[in-house]
Amino acid sequence: MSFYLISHKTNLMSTIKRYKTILFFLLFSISCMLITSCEKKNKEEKNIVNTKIDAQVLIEIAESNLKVVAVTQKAMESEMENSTRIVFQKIENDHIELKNKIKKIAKDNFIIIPNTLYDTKPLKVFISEANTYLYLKKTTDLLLAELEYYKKIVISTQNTALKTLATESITNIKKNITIIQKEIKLQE
Amino acid sequence: MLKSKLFDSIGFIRSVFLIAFFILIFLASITYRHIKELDEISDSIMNTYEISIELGQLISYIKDAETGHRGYVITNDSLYLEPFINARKNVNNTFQALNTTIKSDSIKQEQLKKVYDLVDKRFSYFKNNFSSKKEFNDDFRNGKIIMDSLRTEVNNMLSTENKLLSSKDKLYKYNNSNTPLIVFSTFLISILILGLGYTRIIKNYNDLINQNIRLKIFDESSKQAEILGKYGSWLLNIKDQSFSYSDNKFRLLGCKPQSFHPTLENLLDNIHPDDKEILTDAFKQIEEKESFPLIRYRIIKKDTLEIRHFRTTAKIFIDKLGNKNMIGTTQDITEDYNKTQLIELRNKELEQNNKELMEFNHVASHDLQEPLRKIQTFISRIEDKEKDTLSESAKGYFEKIQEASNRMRILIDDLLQYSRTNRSEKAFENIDLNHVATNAISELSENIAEKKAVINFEKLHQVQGIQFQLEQLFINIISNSLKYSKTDETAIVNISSKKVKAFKVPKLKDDSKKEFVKISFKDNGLGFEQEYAEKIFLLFNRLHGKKEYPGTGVGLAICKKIVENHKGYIFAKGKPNEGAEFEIYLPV
Amino acid sequence: MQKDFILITLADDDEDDRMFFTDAFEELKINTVVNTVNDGVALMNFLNAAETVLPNIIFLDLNMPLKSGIECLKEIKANPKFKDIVIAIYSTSSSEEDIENTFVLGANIYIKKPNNFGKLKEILSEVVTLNWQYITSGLNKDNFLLRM
Repeated sequence: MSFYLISHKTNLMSTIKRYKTILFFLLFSISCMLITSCEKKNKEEKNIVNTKIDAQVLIEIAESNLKVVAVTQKAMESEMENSTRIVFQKIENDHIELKNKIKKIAKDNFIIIPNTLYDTKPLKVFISEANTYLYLKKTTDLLLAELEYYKKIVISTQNTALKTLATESITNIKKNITIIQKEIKLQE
Repeated sequence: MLKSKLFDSIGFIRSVFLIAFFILIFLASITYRHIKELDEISDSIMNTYEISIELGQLISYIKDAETGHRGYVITNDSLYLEPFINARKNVNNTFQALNTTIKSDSIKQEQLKKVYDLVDKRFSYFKNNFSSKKEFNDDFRNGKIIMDSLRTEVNNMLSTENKLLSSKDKLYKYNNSNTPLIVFSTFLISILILGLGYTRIIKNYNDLINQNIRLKIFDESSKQAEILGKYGSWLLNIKDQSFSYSDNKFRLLGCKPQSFHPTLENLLDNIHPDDKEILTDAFKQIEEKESFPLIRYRIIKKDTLEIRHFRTTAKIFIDKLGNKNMIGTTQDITEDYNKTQLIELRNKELEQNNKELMEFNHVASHDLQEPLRKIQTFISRIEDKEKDTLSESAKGYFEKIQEASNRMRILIDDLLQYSRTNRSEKAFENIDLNHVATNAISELSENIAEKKAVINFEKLHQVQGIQFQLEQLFINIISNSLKYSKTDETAIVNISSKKVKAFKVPKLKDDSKKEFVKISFKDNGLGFEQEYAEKIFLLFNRLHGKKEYPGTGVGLAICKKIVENHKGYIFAKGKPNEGAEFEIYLPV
Repeated sequence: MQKDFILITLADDDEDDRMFFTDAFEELKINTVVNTVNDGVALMNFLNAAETVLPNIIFLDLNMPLKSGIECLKEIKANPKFKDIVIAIYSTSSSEEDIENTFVLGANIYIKKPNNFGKLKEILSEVVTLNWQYITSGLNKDNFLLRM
């Protein structure tokens, strides 16, 4: 029969046990840090992606803006009644303001927008035969087209500045459209 | 001793592993940092690379725009608008790309804004209708100027990038130049420590293995010892009353080793019914006093149904955990018991025999004396009364009868003495040999006076013995000396004694430090040949015929018997015609 | 002695010994009256008998049938009537044990039966002529001398 009993209940065991928990905690925290640091990178990228503006969109609204300005400027060169002139002026002013806002957004987002209309041929064709009524009509069409653009923008864009601009412009343009249409009615 | 060594090692191993673990964590963190920095550097390099490319492309796209614009201005063909618009699109893409690459670096953002402004300004000069030639010239010139500033700005950006990169590189190199060294040295240290730990573990493991082997051997030899010594051991755990038996305990009970599970209940199964109580009492004592008495009892062997005698004892043993165990040993003492019984029987027989023989001796001697005495008395009466009427030859015959009867009487007396020497059961006392000598001399006073002998003795020691036997001893030896004294010289007997240690006297054949009193009787008588030194102590052995010197040959045998009774030794030394010396050694 | 002659009793089972004894005293020409008994019982009966005149000296053999000398000695010493009687043990045995025993039990003298008639007469004469008045008083082993 062999009796061979060795066992120790000593302080060392309990300290080791304490060590164990601390070590485990350390390990756990280190691994957590590692994981979280990986995650952060991903988030940053997402954010960056989301707030991009499509340059083409901005260029389009800039161009349509220029078109409206050009048309109204050209219209105001010919004779017309005051009320009409006021309307055109308002529209032009609004659009110059809009142009500045668009330019600001473009600047903030490093987008080059056209300063002038390059392809003026279609306009030129129109302008040679225009009269006030046609101008009004053209302006309305342009404004409606703009409106469509802005509506699309409101839905599609993630950029807050652009969204705000679009919503403002929508209301503005709608107002202008009603004014113009009133004016058109008067002309008829 | 071994336990503490192991314990130390366990602490050592634990600390070794802990250190190794921390080193690993340290290494991991250093590596992590290093890799992270590497990542950053590579990111920066990629960054710089992208920026350089994009900026280069930007310039080239603007050049494309210029070309397109020039073509359009020159030919007014909207064909040339296409590359221009593409160029613008590309420029925008480049800017997006640059913006993404730069991310949130404020300095770079500033620079990019500057570049954008310049580009924007340049694009503003891409008109297609000019109000005047001057405007046309101015525009182109301004365009060129802006282009130059743009290039400068772009170069600035690029150089800033490169500076940043090189500083980062320097910082990285500075921070991490040591890293490989640190890592490697840490690696070495940890390898070293692990190696130490490893060797320690292996050593401990080997030690344990060896311990185990030794234990197994010990276990085996203990098992064999149990079988040989006919004993078995058992263990009782007091708390849960569980038993375990060694293999031989089972065999002692006549069962196969570990054939059943021993409990307090089946403990009594094998016990002889008369002795069951002994065991139950003993086990009760465990409960009450936590001790186990030495008990003897009988069991009935399970396989052969023979009765065996067992002896059991046990002791409490408390282990390190505080568990109380009773470790017991049971021995089969049947052989011993039987032998003891046999010995006791034989002893009784012998004692009885001895007693009878002694009785016989004594009674015989005594009863033999009776008729002898009568013969002698009657003869003396005849001699007295019929002195006158007897013839000379008749008187002579009667004398011879007397002599013969005398001899017989002496012989019977001696035999009686001899038997008495044996018979004595008296206890040993402290005897002063001077008294003994004095008494002996007074007993022999007649003889001494007759021979005109001189007996000398000086301060004799004390011994343990029986008074009358020692007196007899002295009487026999002194009378012997007187008997064999020279006729022409006065007989002198010198008695002396001294203390000796056993190992100093080789003829005692005793190596111990026991003390003896050596009594010497030296006489100046006729002596004897040394070759007869041992024979003279034999019963009925004589060196002379009875005609020369009277004697029965019993006296010295009696002396030897007395000395042996006292657990002593007697030796005789003689030189013919010079005398004899008797040496008696008696234990103190 | 109170009377002119000394009363002696011998208790011995051996016929020859009794003869030696009485013959010895006859030849001694001391004023003695000797009577003998054959064993212990006879001795006690004789002593206890009402008409008996108690002897001065009793010679007591140890080895007797029916009642041994030791037993008689015990009985005699136990009886205050017999306290003045001198007891002489007259035995063949010379064993120390017997001597010791009889001394302890109160015998005054121990005589080993001699093997010579002449010796016997000497001893008996000495015993009888001793001045017993001094000796019967104290039990002293030195006085308990006559181991003859």
